[in-house]
Amino acid sequence: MRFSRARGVNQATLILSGVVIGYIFSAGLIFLQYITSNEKLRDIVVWLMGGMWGASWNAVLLLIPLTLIPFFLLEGMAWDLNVLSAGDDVAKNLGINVNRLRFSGLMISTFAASCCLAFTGIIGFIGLMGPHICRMIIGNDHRYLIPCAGLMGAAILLVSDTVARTILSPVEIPVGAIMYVIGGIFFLFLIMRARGRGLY
Amino acid sequence: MELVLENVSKAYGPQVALDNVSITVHPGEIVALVGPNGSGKSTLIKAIALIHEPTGGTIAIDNRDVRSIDPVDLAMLLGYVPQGFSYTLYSTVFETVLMGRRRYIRWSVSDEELSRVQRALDALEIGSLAAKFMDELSGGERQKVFIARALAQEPRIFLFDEPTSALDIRYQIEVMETMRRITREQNSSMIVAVHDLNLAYRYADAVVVLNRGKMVGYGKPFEVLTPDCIRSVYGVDSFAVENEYGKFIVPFRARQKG
Repeated sequence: MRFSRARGVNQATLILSGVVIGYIFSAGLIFLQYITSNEKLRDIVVWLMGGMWGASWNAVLLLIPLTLIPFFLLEGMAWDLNVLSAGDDVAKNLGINVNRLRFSGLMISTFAASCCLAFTGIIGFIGLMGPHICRMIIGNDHRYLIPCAGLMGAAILLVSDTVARTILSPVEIPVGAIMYVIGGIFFLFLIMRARGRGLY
Repeated sequence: MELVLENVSKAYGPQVALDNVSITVHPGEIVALVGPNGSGKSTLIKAIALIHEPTGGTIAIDNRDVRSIDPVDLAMLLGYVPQGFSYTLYSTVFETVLMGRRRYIRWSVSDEELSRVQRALDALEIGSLAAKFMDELSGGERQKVFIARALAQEPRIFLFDEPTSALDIRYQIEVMETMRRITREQNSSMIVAVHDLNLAYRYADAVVVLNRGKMVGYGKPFEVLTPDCIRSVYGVDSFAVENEYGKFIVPFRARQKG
């Protein structure tokens, strides 16, 4: 986000920065895996694969407030987020504190996502696919886009988890692996479509 | 509302983009900003809207410093139309213009707001495009949508950063005629950066000539935008003509550098 605010930064720089930051954090993970005991190591590896093994009603009860509160906070920002899509300058002219909106939006959504991931491990691409698909279907009004993206994400996870449980039954493969395949293909589709529209 | 700029300056680090500009804009007035690329026209407009806050001087609306006005209230006074294009693929024309009403919307959109948006679209004759997506429009139509958004905002002072640069000549004249009518009707004022000196001649009540951040001319268009002034600022030879349609300036030759 710090980078997205800097002036004159293009998309390639942004993506590269993301990759580099990813490497820095994976260094931390490698360090943890190296110093930890054998039993814990298995836990870490399973968490990194991502799956629904941790799903229990207790986890759900804990997650309800941890996701509902951020959800309502984000819904409260819906109109300002709509205006932000008009560009920073126009948003400022319309009386929006652009930096504060970006910072708080990012913090709140990161908090909600981290809470969920703590129980499931890393399941990638849902946060990319859910909002994108919904934007194509219902448009850019965040009042409806935020709840729809959440529901779409849940639906995607449900389908992938079902596939993960059944495809090699009785062996259950990590849902994270399925998501990387589906998400990767979806990402390529987005890039191709953007190319077709001449956006890059 | 009267807008008074006193010694407004803006520096990006050591680079001075705007140097001691002082102007007064009266209600109902159209003020044109002219000058070569990089002369500080956009910087001045963004400084007034506090998009990029000035580093020196004061900007006051009816004797109130704009920095002391709540950003939400300021949004109802100043309507900004950007030079660059920024929009989302999945927004319709109507939704884009509706953003201009942000300050009046809490959660759901009332019929009153919808009709105001429709009126803004109709003023620019783009009502038929309302349901189209932004990426289906031509560059000129898109620019009109952004102007409509500022109209929907119903500000007291319009700040236009080259609003007509992407428009063909018919659109240019239409937009300027519309803006002149609206500013006269509502007694609102408009500061507009233009490249076409004849637009400044025809529609502006006052002209501010900027060159490398400095104000080198300020006054009535005919008095300020003389062939001498244009030669020194742009390095272009020109002549003025007058006929039954009015007074025009015709640039015809770039002078050799050095």
